[in-house]
Amino acid sequence: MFAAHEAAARIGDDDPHVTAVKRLAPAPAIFELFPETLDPRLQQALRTRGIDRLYHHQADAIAHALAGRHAVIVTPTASGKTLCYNAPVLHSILNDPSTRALYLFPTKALAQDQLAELHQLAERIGEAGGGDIGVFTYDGDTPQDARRAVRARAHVVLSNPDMLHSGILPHHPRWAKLFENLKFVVIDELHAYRGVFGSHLANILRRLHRVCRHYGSSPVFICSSATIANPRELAERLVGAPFSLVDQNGAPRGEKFFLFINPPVVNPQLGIRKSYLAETRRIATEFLKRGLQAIVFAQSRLSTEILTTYLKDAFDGTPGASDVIRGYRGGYLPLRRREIERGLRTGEVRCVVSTNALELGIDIGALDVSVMAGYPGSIAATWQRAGRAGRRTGRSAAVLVASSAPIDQFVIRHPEYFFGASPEHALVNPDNLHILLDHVKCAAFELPFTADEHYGTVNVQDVLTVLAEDGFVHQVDGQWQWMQESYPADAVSLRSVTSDNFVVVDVTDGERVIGETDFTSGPATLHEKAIYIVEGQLFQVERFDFDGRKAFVRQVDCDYYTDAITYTKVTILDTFAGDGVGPSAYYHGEVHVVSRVVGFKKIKFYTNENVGSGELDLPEQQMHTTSYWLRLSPELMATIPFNNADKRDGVVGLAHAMRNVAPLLLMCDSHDLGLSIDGLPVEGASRIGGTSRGMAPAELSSEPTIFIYDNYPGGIGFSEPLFGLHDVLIARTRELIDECACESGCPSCVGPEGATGPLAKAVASRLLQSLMAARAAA
Amino acid sequence: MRDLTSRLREIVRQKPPGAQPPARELTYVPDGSDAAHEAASRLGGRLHRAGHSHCVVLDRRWDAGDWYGRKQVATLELESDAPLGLFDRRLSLQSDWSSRIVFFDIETTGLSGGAGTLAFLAGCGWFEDGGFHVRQFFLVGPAGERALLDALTEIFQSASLLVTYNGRTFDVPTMDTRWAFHRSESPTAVPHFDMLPPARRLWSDAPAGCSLSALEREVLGVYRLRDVPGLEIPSRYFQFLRTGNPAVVDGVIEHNRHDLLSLAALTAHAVWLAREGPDACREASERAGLGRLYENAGDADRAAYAYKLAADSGGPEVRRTALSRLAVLLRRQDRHQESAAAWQSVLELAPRETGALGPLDRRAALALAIHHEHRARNLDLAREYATTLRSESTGRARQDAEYRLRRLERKRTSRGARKDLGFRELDLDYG
Repeated sequence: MFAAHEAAARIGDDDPHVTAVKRLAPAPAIFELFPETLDPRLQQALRTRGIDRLYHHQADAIAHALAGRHAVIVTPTASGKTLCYNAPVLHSILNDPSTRALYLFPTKALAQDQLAELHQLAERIGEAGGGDIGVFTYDGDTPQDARRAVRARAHVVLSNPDMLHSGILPHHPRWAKLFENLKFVVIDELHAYRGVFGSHLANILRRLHRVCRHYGSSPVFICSSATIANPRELAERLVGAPFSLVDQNGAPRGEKFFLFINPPVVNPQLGIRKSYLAETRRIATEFLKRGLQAIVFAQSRLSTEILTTYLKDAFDGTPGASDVIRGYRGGYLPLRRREIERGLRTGEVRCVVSTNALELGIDIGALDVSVMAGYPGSIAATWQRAGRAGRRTGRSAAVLVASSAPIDQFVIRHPEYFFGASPEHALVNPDNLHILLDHVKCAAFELPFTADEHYGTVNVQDVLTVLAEDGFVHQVDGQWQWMQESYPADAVSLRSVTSDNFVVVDVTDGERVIGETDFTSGPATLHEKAIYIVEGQLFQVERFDFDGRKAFVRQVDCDYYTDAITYTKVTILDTFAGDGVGPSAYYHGEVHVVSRVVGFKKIKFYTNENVGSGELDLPEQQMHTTSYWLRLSPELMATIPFNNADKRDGVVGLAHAMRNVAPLLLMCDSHDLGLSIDGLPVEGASRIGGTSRGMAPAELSSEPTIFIYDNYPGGIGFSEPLFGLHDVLIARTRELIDECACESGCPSCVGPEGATGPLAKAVASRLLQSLMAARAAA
Repeated sequence: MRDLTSRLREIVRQKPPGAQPPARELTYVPDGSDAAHEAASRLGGRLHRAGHSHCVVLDRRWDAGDWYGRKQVATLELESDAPLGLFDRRLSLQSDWSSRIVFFDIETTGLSGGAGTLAFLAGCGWFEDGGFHVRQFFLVGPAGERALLDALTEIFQSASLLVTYNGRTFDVPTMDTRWAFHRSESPTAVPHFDMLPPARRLWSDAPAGCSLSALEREVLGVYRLRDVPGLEIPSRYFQFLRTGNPAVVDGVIEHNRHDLLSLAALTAHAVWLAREGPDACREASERAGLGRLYENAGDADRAAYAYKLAADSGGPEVRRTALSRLAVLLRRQDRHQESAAAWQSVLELAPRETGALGPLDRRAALALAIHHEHRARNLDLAREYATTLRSESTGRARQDAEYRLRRLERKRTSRGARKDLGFRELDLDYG
């Protein structure tokens, strides 16, 4: 077999568009002996599985957990993290069979994956005379008649936050045995709990603490996280208690090469590059030809399918090739997923093309190469995907292929930024009032609040007083009694702020529901005449029933997709802090956002040409959230030597670029942030700013303000850090624009010239220059 | 910064859209035991204490000579050898209920269950000196729950049997949750007789359904005046908590009390019917119901007798139902001829005005097609029934009918050439 680095080197040699080749040195294992106190039956069970000593970090984690200290373990893929929590849990159960543990995984699939492993270990322990240790999953798939058995017999319950929220906590008396004896709570994939989901989890854990207190238990938390900047802080924010950090990885690592590839520019004037998907196909094919097992990460379900098709086509002639190249994404049936995972472990599957579904810790063994089609959006996710390749010994390679999105272009042209910077911070805001209120209701249902009880950092007595005004609770006997017949957890969805959503009904042949969209993005993706895409199949929206929360779609065959144009108006409600003087001042605070989808554009596949547009009249959506904003003073604007139309294009281009750099600085998805420029229309789904053809160009105000706001009601905590990062934001935006090779704007910096106007890039650059000069002078 | 309360108000008011308007009432904050005392005296009860917790205890008695519907209270008491095993096999091991039988019913703040659903009223009823005694425990506030549970434990520990209506799925699990909430052992592991399943068997044809209030009208002839509908109960209790006015829950307490007496009366009536047999029934549908009860208890002979009586006396639909049950029962006893005759009658009694066959008729036709093919060996008749089935069925049943017809055709052409044993078992599991 060819070593991965030879193939990587070859690709590097052949290709002038490799912007970085980084060698990551191998590292030997650091071992420690089993602690003497570790139950001998557990030690024996581990030995029968070929584990006769521990990696350093495992020993560390076990010591913390057994000493009763909350611990967060940061380890790369394939470093034996599950033993870090399984060992102390099983040891404690062996010591005292009444011990109970609760494991939380972000998805049901991960719980299943862990169940198999834990089962095996529990069996070995049984063979070693350790008795019967009950290990069960408890989630939406658990049959009703099996649930009682789980409650009675499980020593370890494997579940997810959604089930804990709606199925376990509200019924805690039935789980009295679990809560009375709860010694450990394990939170796997801690880094997945950021933003809205993390803020919900933090509140669910607050509720868990209340229930545990009621039953007299005080569990130790063991969390495992992929590499992020602030694992300990995240764990402490989520759990609300101090944590010990275990981050000295003792597992061995093989040598790894990391390549950055920027597809060649094919139209220098318009800044159009060769398709990154085609480039990814070429690179993956090179590896496959050399017999290396590869995983290819695509950014969306659609591109996953496209790449799978491409790669299968490329291997057309080879007999049996169809089975060695597989796609993998959410939406595949569990059986098929298990089959693919097994194929990867046995080596029968040589290449898998996946969405981020395989980024989380599903066991697929270690592969030779990881190819990323497009920047995964964060440094942490990039390392995680890269970590899918690489055995404990031997060489491996990771390849990042940039798309033309600004964030990709920034990263690919600044490899030193990527390799030098710490990964992102995972932010949560457990005291987001919208989220907090929902969970206070759930908590009040579970256990009445007492008149002197605290919850989170807000004054919960004030919250309860407001809830009492509306009849949710009532103060009686010195406690707050829940006063509704309904069951509050049912109305709270953890994966968004509001549980309201739109369903998509396909009317091509009868009526069937084919998808759903959350409330906020409904109008932008499901307006009439919008093209809705699911599993590569195109549908056109025929009717959008806003009040009924439904969109009726029909299958179509067309060569374009649609992109909504959203008019957003932001009003400042409250300024929390401001900085900067004179020409440019920046702030963060609370804002009121009114947005309305006013039209849409039709954009041709592959060429991204704008081939038409339409107007829409949809109801407004409103929210209160938090925002960062930058105000460009009239004096500053006056010093820019361009006419008003060009100035407008420049401000739009600047905003566009800033808005694309911001997610790089915060650890967040692109659509976690919203953008508004003083009421200029902004195109929603795409990352392209600017006015569009067929729309009347709006006038720029004399003091334009660029708002980058948290795209969730109540805010999720991005605005304050972004405010703190203002100088970095401006500097990085300037690098992005000035270092872009295009002549006058392209999708990778200020937006394509056709959309923004000929001088957008020049004006934006000039604005940034003035902004930085003003900062330097101040 | 804008103040927290106004921001909270904004969020609470805006969702869920169109939610219930705020309940604005005079707010009343009960003040520990004084409030409990006052509520107890206004409701006409006394206080029960356990530690710092108190609940209101209300006693009420119906004397032996009082009438309840068509019966006198004294006649409602179950004898110690009541054949409850006929109703619920789990109770057949025990035949002496001489110590206390407790009727039990609760009122709650919601039906969805979970830790936040409170049983604010627990009613227990038993017979004493010929009369019916009801003792209810009422929560003036949630802090009284300990006292309520404490009092109930005492009653449950002295009970030989609990009788409920839907208690297996609702009342007992709800109370188990309350005990678990207070981290106490639940005393509900008493033999338990849930009257709902046998009531469904006996009176499934009751026009207003099998709710306790429907059956007390239909079966017991009891009409309640100014009863509080079940749906209103939680909101009445919430109103009481807000206002402290016991008048709003008077009706709920009365409702619970009547439920208990009705449950006792219904149980007594069911036991009496089961003892007396179908001749004592007033209606044919009740006879058929009794048949189902006996059948479920494994008494096929009495079941067959009840079905026959029902088939001889009722309107066509009752007769058809009884005949179909009888037919199945007879077939299980290998009385194939009689079974076929019963199915035949089902078809003959079919309403003539509608052309299409109902589900019962299709079952009859299928049973007869099987009977004539495999037992009576009358292939012509079998083909007639199968043809009817084919034209009256859709989907899977139609395919089966077609398959049957093809097989019958083969048999007719090769009659005597081969035995048809090979096909027999295909139909045997049909019942």
